[in-house]
Amino acid sequence: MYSRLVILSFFIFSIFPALGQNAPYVNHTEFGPLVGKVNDDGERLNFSIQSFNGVKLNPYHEVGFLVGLDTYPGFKLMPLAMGWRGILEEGDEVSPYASMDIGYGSAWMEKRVITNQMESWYQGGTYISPAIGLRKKANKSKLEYTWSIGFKRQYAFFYEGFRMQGFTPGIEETNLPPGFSSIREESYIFKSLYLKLGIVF
Amino acid sequence: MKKKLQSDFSWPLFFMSSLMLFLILPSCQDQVESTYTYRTQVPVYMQMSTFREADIIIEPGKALDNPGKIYLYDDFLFINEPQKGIHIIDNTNPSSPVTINFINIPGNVDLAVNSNIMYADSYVDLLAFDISDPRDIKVIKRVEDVFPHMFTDQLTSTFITFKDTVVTYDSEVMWGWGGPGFWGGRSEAFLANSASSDGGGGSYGQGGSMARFTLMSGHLYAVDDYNLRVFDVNMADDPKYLKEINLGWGIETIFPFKNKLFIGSNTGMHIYDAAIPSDPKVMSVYQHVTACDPVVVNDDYAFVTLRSGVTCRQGSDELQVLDIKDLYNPQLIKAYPMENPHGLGLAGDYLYLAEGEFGLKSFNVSDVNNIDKNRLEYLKSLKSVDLIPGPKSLIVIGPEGVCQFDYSNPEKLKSLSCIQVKNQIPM
Repeated sequence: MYSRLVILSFFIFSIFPALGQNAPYVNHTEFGPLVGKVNDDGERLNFSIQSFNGVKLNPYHEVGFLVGLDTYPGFKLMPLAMGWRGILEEGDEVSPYASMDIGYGSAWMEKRVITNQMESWYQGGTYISPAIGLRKKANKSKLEYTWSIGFKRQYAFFYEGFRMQGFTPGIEETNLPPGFSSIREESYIFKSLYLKLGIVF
Repeated sequence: MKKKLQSDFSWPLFFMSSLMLFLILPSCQDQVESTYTYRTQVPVYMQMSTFREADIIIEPGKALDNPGKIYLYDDFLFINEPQKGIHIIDNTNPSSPVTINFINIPGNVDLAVNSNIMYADSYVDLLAFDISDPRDIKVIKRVEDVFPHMFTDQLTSTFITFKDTVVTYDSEVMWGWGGPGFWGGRSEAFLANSASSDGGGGSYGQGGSMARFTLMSGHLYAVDDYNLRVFDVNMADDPKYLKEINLGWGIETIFPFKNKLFIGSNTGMHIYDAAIPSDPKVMSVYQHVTACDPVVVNDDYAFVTLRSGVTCRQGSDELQVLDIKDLYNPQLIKAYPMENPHGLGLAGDYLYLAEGEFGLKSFNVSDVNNIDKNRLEYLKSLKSVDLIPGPKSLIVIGPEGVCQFDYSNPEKLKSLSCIQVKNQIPM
């Protein structure tokens, strides 16, 4: 599992500097809490970290690929997304900016649980996360600090199924995976307020 | 200049996106929905007249879909497609079997062949076919209302059958993220649901008539869940229904041997003396734990497989060897643990055992006390449900199709051919 993560990060951190031969490379790493409401009386406080690797197309636009880690109650998702950063007042010491990330939250870190005939597993889903914030230049360095507030809408699924015993024929054109006698699907839409602190270099 | 333009243009855009963001934010409550999908059997009420009026259609040979029982007669292999009909396969050369045709028989579960007459059930009726020329099959007789246990209303000849279906409904049970209770869900309800549906799912494919046939001494014996029915077929083309004998419940298989009938049930093995074929008499009932159990027999011993499984209640997985020298008092000699034994077949001293999805095993059983030490082969990749040790080949049926083996050297099976199932089910 971790080897995949290493390979993935190697890929990401090596490909983008390579692209940056022509256009300046940008990394924007952010972390912060994801705040949501489970139901009328339950709050949800989770943690998110993400790293945007991209290129500066011009002084006002940055596009790139984003990878990260989001925790949700009882499981983790890895966001893999395309991201955009728009900077309003490039050159000023403090400038407002906006961002938009659209991608997929992968549940590959969650193991499939098999006990006797029962199996349960998670499946990730698409997400969209717009945000607005401020970028501040650090003194005497190329670093910039960011503060942003955003929204994250994440789809995800949980499945719990019973395997059939013995041999049973399939029923054509059904939404039941082969080999299962029953499946319960929980589909989620997590709507989180996203407060982020970050650095750009 | 460019920068000025950019910022003039960007500010309204920026405020608009901010506004949108804060319009979305108040609806910051997670949504969760739960749906439950399960296999089940829905009852279907049908009238027998519908089927009696319709002609039995002989179709050209077609691919196996969901093979059930197999039956070997001369050089012809009969493969039942539960509730649908019977495939006929020319097996003159077991290395290359040829599908000849498919007899469309609604509600068919089992069959038996005697002197070129094939008997097959069709819901509550028994049909007789002339198969002296398998390429030109004719219906010669329909014996009506002989499996009346399916009737819900005999006067209008309405009967009930079960159709396999998949049902989806919205579930109120929710406990995905964060474990049970996280969403205030009711996990007990789900478990209860699962248990019930599991029962339904497990009985899948067995719904409807459970008649199982065998022929001996000019008589056809058919067992369903509760009864043994006797037909006189001395006049092969004119089967006569004689009587029924109540056997208790959970009857599964019937095996004829030397004028005796060995009937496997969920609870044990019944031995009937059929010296007077029209009037079988109970000799003994060997009781064991509740499990599924096909039976094969030789002169001295009976081999019974017990299988755990949903339909088989809580059972154990083993091969039991019974001493049946005294048919009135069968004695358990030894039980051998197995994986998930289904059907089995005996050829001389060699026992072939279908282990379900675990494969196929062969044993030398000349020493009944050391069967486990005399395992010959274990073909793990050959998923198997039942088998027939035929005169030309060992015929093995499984979820992937019907395979045949040369077993002239019992120590080493040699694959001859496989008829693949059209829609394979990944296990």
